[in-house]
Amino acid sequence: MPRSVVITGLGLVTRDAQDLAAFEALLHKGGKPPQPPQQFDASRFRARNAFATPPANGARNGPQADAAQRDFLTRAPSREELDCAGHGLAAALQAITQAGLSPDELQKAGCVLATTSGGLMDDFADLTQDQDADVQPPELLAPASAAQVLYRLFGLSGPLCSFSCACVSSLGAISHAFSRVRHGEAPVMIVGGSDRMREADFAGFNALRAMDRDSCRPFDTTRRGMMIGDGAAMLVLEDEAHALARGARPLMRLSGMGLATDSHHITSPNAQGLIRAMQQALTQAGRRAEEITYVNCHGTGTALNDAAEIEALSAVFDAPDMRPVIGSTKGTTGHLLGSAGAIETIATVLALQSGMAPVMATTHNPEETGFPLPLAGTPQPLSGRIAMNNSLGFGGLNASLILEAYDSHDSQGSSPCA
Amino acid sequence: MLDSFVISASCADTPAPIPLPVGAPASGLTSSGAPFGSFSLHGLNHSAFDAEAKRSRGRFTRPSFRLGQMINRLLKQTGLTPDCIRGPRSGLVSGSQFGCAQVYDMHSRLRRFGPRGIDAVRFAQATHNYPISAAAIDFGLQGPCLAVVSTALAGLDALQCAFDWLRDDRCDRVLVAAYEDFAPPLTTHLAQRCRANPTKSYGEAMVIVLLERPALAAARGLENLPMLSVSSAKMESGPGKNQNLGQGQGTTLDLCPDGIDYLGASGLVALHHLLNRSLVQQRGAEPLRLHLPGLATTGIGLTLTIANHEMELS
Repeated sequence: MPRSVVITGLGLVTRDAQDLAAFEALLHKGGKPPQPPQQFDASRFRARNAFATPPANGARNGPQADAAQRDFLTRAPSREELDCAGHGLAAALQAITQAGLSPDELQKAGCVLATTSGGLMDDFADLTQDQDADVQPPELLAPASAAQVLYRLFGLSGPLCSFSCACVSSLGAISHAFSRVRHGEAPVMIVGGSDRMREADFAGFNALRAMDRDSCRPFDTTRRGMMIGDGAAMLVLEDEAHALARGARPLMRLSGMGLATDSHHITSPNAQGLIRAMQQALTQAGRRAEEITYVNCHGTGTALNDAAEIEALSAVFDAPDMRPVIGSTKGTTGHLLGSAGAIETIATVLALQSGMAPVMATTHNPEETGFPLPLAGTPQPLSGRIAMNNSLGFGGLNASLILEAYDSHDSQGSSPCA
Repeated sequence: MLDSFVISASCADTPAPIPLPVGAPASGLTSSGAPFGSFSLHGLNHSAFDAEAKRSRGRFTRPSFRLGQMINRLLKQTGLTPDCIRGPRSGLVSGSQFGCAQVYDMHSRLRRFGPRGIDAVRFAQATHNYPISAAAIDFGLQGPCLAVVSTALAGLDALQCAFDWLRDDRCDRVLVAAYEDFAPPLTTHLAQRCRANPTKSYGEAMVIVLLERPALAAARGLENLPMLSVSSAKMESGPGKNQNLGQGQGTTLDLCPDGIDYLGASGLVALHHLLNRSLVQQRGAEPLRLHLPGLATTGIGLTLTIANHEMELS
């Protein structure tokens, strides 16, 4: 019998928000305009703006963890570990603190982390161009290095894994952690995504002409593309019975996930994969489409993405008078690539908790989608208690997730798994 | 009743036992006079890719090209046609420790040539999921597809993903691949590792196995296949209590019979050896564990049963 999975903690780092309260305020008023990243000279590129965290952010957050948070760490992180995983570490500390886990309870947890390109291999390549030098701790070069840093620093003993699947990385990671808890293999999983701004990705999306020069405007007739960002978003997934037994207050129930592929094109999405992913998530959650009150779309602001997504949503939510509010938070946070699914899961949790869809402040000329959009000046209250979050990635990968406002009456009544 | 699925075929490409030439690691080991002294890296034969790359104008990367070839070999081995795996009931997952070299190449090209050195098509290939995505497009796979980039356990982590998907009825069969592909700057890094420990030797590899529902294999006349199920040790110990399955009773098999470390592909290389070399039968009735010495602290919680012999994958 699968176990019930709840979310008990959330944490995040974005350019404009370093905690949940700041993030919630941001979601309701919209973000600041994107700016050129400080990590590199963006003037060489066609599109020059991003939602980049200040370069010192990752390093700054770790050592300044407060005394209570330091209790969770087996030792102080090194400078290199903070370069590699600072955002993820800061976000995870917030999530663990909110979850109210004791250091002993934390040690039973596992960790699954998503990344776009991860590790410090770029730095290694730069420093070994012309010399023979051991320039980086060798354990920090691989894509999974950030996950391993978190695992070591928190002294975890549960499952460890890492995913890198373009923009569905985070939801892939969440699906893996969900399975570990759902099948009783771990009582607690720390899961999410962590990335830092990478010039090669900035250059690549410029080469694809997929970046807007000014702002990201999902579902807007004047949209010109995406706007990348960096940061981290982490969640504590927990066996419901385990959470209740230790007196924790579940924030939300994670009830279903869907994974499917377009098998269509490397960079051009097709609606069919997303349709299957959404249907799979609904089936696993035991829910009908008309029960969904809000969908946090992938909503990159590229014409190809938005068109495929609306086609897929129209197919799944085919009753015109019972359609959910849909929205994208990428105009506010930027596209966090490997961390996108995790930060948008947090946005979806906050939307259900507040009963209000995050505003799409940059979408001034909405296209006809057939769905209510939460535009500036036209707030969209959410009447239901179930929401969906979708991610699409290069290579035709699709993932969908179902969240339900927590109600203890829905509990399965099982005993704690550990 | 515990869910159980069968491994109906496996293919592996492992390197010829010829060390790559010693050379300047930043330039891809092509010249002599290495600053690192002699070290041993073992490469796969990429001549077919090199020939194809000219014809197909860069549609493939080395791992994506090899994966396509190996899927065809795997299908033949298990009596399937490409039509059989087309559609939403077939998934694909890869595991690798360092993933696709093209991801790192983007950075190097940007440093050398500036923004004009970044080609849109090559950037689209510069994701760790490119091999599985390209294969999904070529073979029409529409089930779940994900790329694991974890530790030396990456291949076994991928196997666990496949198990999850079948157990959750997301699909009926999953192609599970594990690979390592060496190119700068990874070669430099591995050279430094070898210098620090001259007994170490690393090899490129790609392995692919097919995990599917027993009824599907039986319908093709395949019976008594190796079976994967939830570990009974894990079920007994309970989650979060004792997941150090590699430290239990029984004999640990040598995962590197040829002395080469295949990094994230190690687990599936070892599994392939197990499936194809009758190692299990040679051991009699003694409990066996497939264990990555010194690397794995937690088991993936699956048991492999071959010819009535059970072993933990940890």
